[in-house]
Amino acid sequence: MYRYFYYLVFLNMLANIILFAPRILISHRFEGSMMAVVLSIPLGFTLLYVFVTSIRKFTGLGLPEILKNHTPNWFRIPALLFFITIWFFAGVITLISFSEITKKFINPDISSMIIVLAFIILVGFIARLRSETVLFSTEILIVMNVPFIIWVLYKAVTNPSMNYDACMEIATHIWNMPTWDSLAAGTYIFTGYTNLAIFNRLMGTTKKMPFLWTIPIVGSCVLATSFLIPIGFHGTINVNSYMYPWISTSDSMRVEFGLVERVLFIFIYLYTNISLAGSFIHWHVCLELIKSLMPRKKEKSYFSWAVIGIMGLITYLLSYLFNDESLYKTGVLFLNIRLASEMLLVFVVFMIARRIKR
Amino acid sequence: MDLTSQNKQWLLDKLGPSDDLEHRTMKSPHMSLELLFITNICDSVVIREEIIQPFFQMHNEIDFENYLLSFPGCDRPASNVDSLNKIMSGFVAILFQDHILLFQAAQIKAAALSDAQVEATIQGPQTAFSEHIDTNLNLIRFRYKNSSLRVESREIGRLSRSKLCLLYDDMNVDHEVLDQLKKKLDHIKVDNLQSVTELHQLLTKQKYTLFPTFINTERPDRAILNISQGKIIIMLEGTPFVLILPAVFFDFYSAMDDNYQLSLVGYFLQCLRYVALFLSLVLPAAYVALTAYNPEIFRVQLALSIAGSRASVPYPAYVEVLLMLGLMELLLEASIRLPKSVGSTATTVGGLILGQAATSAGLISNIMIIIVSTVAISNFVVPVNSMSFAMRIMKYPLVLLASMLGITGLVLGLIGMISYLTNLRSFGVPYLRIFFYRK
Repeated sequence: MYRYFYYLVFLNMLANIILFAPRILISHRFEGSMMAVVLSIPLGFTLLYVFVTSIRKFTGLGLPEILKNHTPNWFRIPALLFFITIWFFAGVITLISFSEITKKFINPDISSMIIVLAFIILVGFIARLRSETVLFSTEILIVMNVPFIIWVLYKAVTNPSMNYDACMEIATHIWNMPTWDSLAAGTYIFTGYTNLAIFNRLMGTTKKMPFLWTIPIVGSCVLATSFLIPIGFHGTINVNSYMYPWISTSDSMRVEFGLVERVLFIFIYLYTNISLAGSFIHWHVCLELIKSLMPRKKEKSYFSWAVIGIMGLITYLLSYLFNDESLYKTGVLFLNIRLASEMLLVFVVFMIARRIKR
Repeated sequence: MDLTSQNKQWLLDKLGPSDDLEHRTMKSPHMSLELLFITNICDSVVIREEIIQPFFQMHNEIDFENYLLSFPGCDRPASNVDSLNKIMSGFVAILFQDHILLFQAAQIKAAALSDAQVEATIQGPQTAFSEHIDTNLNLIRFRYKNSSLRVESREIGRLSRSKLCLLYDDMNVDHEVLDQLKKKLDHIKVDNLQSVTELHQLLTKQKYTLFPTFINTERPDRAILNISQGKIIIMLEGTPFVLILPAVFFDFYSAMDDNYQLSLVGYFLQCLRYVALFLSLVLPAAYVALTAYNPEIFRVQLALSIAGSRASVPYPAYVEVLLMLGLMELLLEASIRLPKSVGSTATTVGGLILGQAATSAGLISNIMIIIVSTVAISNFVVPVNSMSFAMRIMKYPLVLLASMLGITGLVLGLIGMISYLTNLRSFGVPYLRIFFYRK
């Protein structure tokens, strides 16, 4: 089962392109983004490593069970509520920003409310399924999409419009100190492991995760490409004028002899799959955390429907409020809070794991 | 008053006045006894040669009874109900002075073997199961000579009392699944059971199901392959199809030909089937989405030629698609129901008149004809029939989504379908799961 852990991590690495991370890094490109990229690899990986090794000590238990067994109620309930909001917003921001992208680039003649609604219904439907099912669906979506994503990346790297000098120019700014924004954006790609908070229940009995060392390697490749390729395509200055740098980058490529000439469309469909998978995983974790807060009498099926309904309703109402700029600002804020809360999560699990060892 | 006359009277009452009920007395110098059987399902040759002729050669009752008891399938009934049931299934009741013997003389007319019709293969075994369960068991035993093969039979159906057999390899089978299955079979209450697909519906809890979670096959070789993989076969009297469970999605896309061909050919065939699956699901919906919502996705030349072909069509793309798909479904349904002798009419009328005339009248675009025929052909590439029916229906929700949300709707529909399939379980086994390893 441990391969599903890698799907979770990898999915998040891919989804970072939608969740403003490249745009944040690019907007700070002269003020320490490069350093942030370099720093966030050890930082993100350390968090990941500590969390995974700690939570693996509790075979078959998720975060709610661990907290219930080892912490008092006054700590457990606020902590869970906090994490529920974090996971909920992770899903919300991906959903809203991706529906904006769909509206802008694919379906300008359909109301964005309908698009958001369709996304919410689908994600809600999947999020309330069994954890196992969610993982299987994720696996299928990843296996079907990743080859094409790699192909797009290959096309980008070998493209004649790709200007490596611009990348080198950005790389020389490596000695500028990073901002918290860019550090939060950089570490975001490793965040997928936090979903183990629920999925640890299914991860089997192997105490140690094999092949953990591959994560920083793949992570640094993903980070470098998602930060530097747009710069190579659009130049060091102009790149900042794009709302979604990666979508515009993919629109700069074409397949000369393909059925679909503009890579943009292929790219957006691939990322529809990836970002929806990301959001239904986040919502599934959120739902499971909420379920764990309920006094456990009897599993009622309408309860999860109700929770999903409320989550969907909130998302739908929020999507009214956001415009592009405020969505971006919220995204930045979310990523910043996320880094802090991720540290908190890792710290809590680490402390509990250490305490039971004694 | 002795026991037998009471029992005899009870049996005669139950079997009622019926023209095919034979009740006759045989008298020889040494003894006399009565025969009771239903003529239509008994073999008169067997009765004549194995009961009546020896009767006149025997000198006393005990010899004759011992002689009869030496036949396999002949024994004393456990109760009146037992003898009634056995008479109904082709036994002859021999009424002695104070007891009854039941003699197996059933004649089944459906025992002949024929070639597989629904699931044909090019190379490999050709015979299909027959409608007679003993013949089917014989076919399995003949090909699977392992001593751990188990056969358990039971009766199902309050009126039809069909015989139902469970076959499995005791060494490989998942006993949890087996117990679960037996429990479910015990709870089934039904009057008639004619086909294993009915049983499939009774075994699944959901009221509305679309995707088959058990394989339905007529091929003995597939049954044997699955037994050896630890699956359970359910056989039902009176149908040439057997049910295999648990089954996963990928089983429905593997034909027996994959194993009989050389390996690369087998892989190629398998890939072909998934391509066909993709085409038959996606093409109609993609046509709607790409002509009505997102014509800019295709390269310009292609988009122009599609638009040119649609120039004369007077209604929106989704009407066109639904119209043509509806006609195609009618054509398919007609060619299944038509008697063989007029079967070719449907294809001629459908192919020529619909295809040619509809385009030249400008009602349907040329590209639409290509799409409809591709969909129809690729739909029937699926080796297991019940799955091809499911996929035939699945394209309509996708068309609906595509006509509401364009290509995004199509992608959403596909994701939804994948997650619906992954949520299905076939007796606890995840239905759709990539990298599915069998034990």
